[in-house]
Amino acid sequence: VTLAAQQTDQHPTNQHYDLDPRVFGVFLDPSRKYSSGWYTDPADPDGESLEAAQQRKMDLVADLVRARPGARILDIGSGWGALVLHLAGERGCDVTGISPAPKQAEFVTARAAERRLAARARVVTGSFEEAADLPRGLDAVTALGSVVHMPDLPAVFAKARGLLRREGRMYVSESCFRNAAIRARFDAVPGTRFVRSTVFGNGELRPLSELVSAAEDAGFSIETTLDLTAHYRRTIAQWIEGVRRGAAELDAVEEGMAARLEHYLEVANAGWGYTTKHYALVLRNAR
Amino acid sequence: VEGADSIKVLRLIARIEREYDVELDDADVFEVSTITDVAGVVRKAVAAQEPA
Repeated sequence: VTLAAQQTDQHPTNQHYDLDPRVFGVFLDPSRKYSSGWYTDPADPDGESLEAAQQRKMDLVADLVRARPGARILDIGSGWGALVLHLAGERGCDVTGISPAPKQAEFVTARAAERRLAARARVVTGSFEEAADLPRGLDAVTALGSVVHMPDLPAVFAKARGLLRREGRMYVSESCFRNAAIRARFDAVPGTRFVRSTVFGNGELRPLSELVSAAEDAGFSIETTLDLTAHYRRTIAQWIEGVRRGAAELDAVEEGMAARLEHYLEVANAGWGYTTKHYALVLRNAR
Repeated sequence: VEGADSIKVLRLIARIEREYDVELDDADVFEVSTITDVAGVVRKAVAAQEPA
């Protein structure tokens, strides 16, 4: 597998996420959560470890969507299952994850079995936009850094809201352009294109205002917005440390992998606050 | 400035902002492409730091 490979038989998002799972075991925390952590002070280089920050973040998400024992939850873009297994294992929720990457589903299913969570943690392989048989009447839907891969945002929010019970909540966090002018200016430059096409397949960065507008149009009430930018910068800095520590292992999977990953992560981290921001929204299915 | 080079410039700008404890205008941040431009941005940062 090559980061830049054009593999037309795959879901476009899979180029990056369906890489050999060993790659992500090297630089992510043990839960393999591939999104921002949550630090007491993200500017403190002696603050939480990556693992601790990811556990704190999953507790934050659980609290924001009021994840009580028995709550039925859908995690859109469930990746290597960190949040699915956390909500099922730590909070006693009944959780379904969905991801288009088949290797992720195998991985999560195996971990759920190991932890005796198979009865309340499962993963569907497929695209959220196209999936027909998703659970309904849900207490919560979560989408951590996954709507960036979905071109039709209004359709995504409408579908998610349709799966929620009244008073159910959706947590969505996403990397955003800092504002509309920055988007107009940077959407087509090489740095943006590098991240979008080489690594991600689909990748549609939007300003926060567009996320808010789409959520309103779908009929959600907006309960919370959080600026996670500094937290993501710290998270990526810790991933870069992981890539450096594990460079030999990464290059054994594929020559040059460590350098490519580090470059991608450095590009992403250089833009925070200048071209990009990272926000979380809590949406409520209520008047 | 294109691709990876623009990333280097952005990191330089971020460092200038930290060192001089200033926040530059977007126009300055994104128009920088030569060393002369960088020098201009530094001058501006230093000027902004001096008490009015």
